[in-house]
Amino acid sequence: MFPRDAREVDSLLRHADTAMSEAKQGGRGRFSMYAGGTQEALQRLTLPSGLREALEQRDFVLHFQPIFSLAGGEVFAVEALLRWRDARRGLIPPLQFVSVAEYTGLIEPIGEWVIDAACAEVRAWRDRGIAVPVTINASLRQFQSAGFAAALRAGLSTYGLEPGDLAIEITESTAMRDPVCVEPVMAELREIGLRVAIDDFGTGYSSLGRLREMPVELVKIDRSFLRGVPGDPVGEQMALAALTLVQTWA
Amino acid sequence: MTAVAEGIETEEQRRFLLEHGCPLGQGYHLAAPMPAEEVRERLSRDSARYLPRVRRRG
Repeated sequence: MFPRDAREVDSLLRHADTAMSEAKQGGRGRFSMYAGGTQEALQRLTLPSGLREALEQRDFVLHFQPIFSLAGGEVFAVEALLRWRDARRGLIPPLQFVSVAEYTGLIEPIGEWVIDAACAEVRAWRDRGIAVPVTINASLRQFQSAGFAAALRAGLSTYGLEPGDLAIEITESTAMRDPVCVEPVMAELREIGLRVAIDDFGTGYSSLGRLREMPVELVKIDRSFLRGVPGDPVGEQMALAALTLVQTWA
Repeated sequence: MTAVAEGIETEEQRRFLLEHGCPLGQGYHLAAPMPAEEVRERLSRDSARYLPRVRRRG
């Protein structure tokens, strides 16, 4: 928009175009604003080739963040988080490259790398007598791919793990983009014995009825619900409403 | 379905959630994301669990 993003007609149109292609990627009926300067646009152009090289050279690493029992403080599970290790830019979080990975199709081989690396890590835990499951984040492309369940089974058998050692997280908005595809895959994963979690709950503009029907065991309530909590009465009511909603589905 | 609260950043938030029946949580206040070596080391210790820091007065 003029004059925030650019002052020349040329670059205004270009930025609008960037925003439009982003909106299209998000699905029908979306809108999007141009989000950054030329520097960022350039970076986006060079991202796909950089990602391809990163995949070839296995320049990815997993970081791990525990999920705790709030009462006892025990570790309930550990979420595996993907990082791209770039020589110049350091560790890059998924938010900055996953959409590029999705439209280039690189998300599938990257997703397979994540499954393998997460299973290898759980093996290392088991060898140290640690009995904690790992959760991994899956994309829509993975859910839509015929080989997803097979890749998970392969990861489990390669490292001698039980299905209960692995849980799959899918964001609410991803699940709702193609529920007809996602639901049966969730059911298949549950049949294998894997747990399924809905991630970023409360941000997906979902049909709650549809979400309730999904075969999931965990619902991760989005961080935005903790804004102003405790203290702000409206914030508190929102957080409690989300919590109550999830728990009445039990 | 079991609820997990994401993005817990303060002890007050943890306590609020616990008091209102939220069983599970994640966030920087409890533990930030860490490299593999660190999580292995942390999980191996008995003290892997999250313990709220005791506040001392004065």
